[in-house]
Amino acid sequence: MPVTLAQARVARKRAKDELSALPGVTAVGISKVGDDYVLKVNLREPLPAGIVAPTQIAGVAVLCEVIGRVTRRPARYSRPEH
Amino acid sequence: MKLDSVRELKQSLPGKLSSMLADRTSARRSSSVAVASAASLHRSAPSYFLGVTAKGKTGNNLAVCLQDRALEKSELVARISASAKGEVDVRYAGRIRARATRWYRSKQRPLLIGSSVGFIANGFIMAGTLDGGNPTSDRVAKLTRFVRLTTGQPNLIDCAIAKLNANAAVDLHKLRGIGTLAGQREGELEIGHIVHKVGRTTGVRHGRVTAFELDGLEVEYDIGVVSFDDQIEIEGSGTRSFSDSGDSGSLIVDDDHMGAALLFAGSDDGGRNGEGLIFANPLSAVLKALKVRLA
Repeated sequence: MPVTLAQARVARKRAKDELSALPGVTAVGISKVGDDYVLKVNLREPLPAGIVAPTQIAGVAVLCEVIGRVTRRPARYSRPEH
Repeated sequence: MKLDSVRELKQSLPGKLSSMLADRTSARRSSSVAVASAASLHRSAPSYFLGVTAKGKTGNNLAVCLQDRALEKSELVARISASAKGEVDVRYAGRIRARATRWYRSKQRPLLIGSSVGFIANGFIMAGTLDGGNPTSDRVAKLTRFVRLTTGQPNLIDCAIAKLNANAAVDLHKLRGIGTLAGQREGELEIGHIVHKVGRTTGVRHGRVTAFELDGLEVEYDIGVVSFDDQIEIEGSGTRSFSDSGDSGSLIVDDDHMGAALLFAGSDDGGRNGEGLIFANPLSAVLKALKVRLA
């Protein structure tokens, strides 16, 4: 039986507490792997040695991805220095 | 090398080298000096430029970018290297030519969705000053409402709206390079949906929804880290990112060209192609906050 969106939403609400010990979490959302909804956890940098993210929260798989810093996207100059 | 030291060297070296090579060339005609001299002094285009590049996690090198291969083993480069005590990163960069202006970074009349318009100053929207817009003659609209960001609690949207001047010519539906805006999407985007946008910096790009209902999204602003709830995540298609700096405010449409989201932030890493992820406000939340609907 695939994990449903409703199950993922329940897990997302619990994720805040479950993931509070993880450093560098920049967002928690919902994604999908195959037919299963999963929790998507974005990290600013790889987790330090010895710290491991949970593989499941409330029966929903946790998918972690290191994406670096998230910044707004204003226009900017880019000009070589001479 | 410390950053200040590299900067100081970068500022002082060109002048010192020019006078040194000029003196040497007039004094004697060694081949290496002649090459450097010919390249750096008698050409109308610059033959090298200096910059700063990272060395390890904390150090810096003086970057030496050559525009003439003849300079690779020249006395000029040897002198630069000696001045920087060997802390240099020498690369052949070749000639650099100005790129043709892309349509989405130039003045478009009638105004087009995603083209270079959208810089707010003194309460007015005007053609982008970065792209040569004139603050007075290119004034096209007046800011009428914006949503103030807060750092103390989660935000839902980052947006503003302006009222077009009566005489401003505008095409409200053309998505150049994509098609015609078909209206507002009913229902939210789902994982795997194909989306498109046209924006001021990267023009037309295509992508795929990778996550939704993202909470606690931490975005770095000038005012500090601002948190957003209920956001959409998108990766670029193929080998390209979905957007870059300057694309904020782009309307994201679904595969039926229905408006679905508003682009506002992004990361440099992540996504299947490693080109970063972008984040967007659901359009329904944006329109609700601004009390408007798509025409």
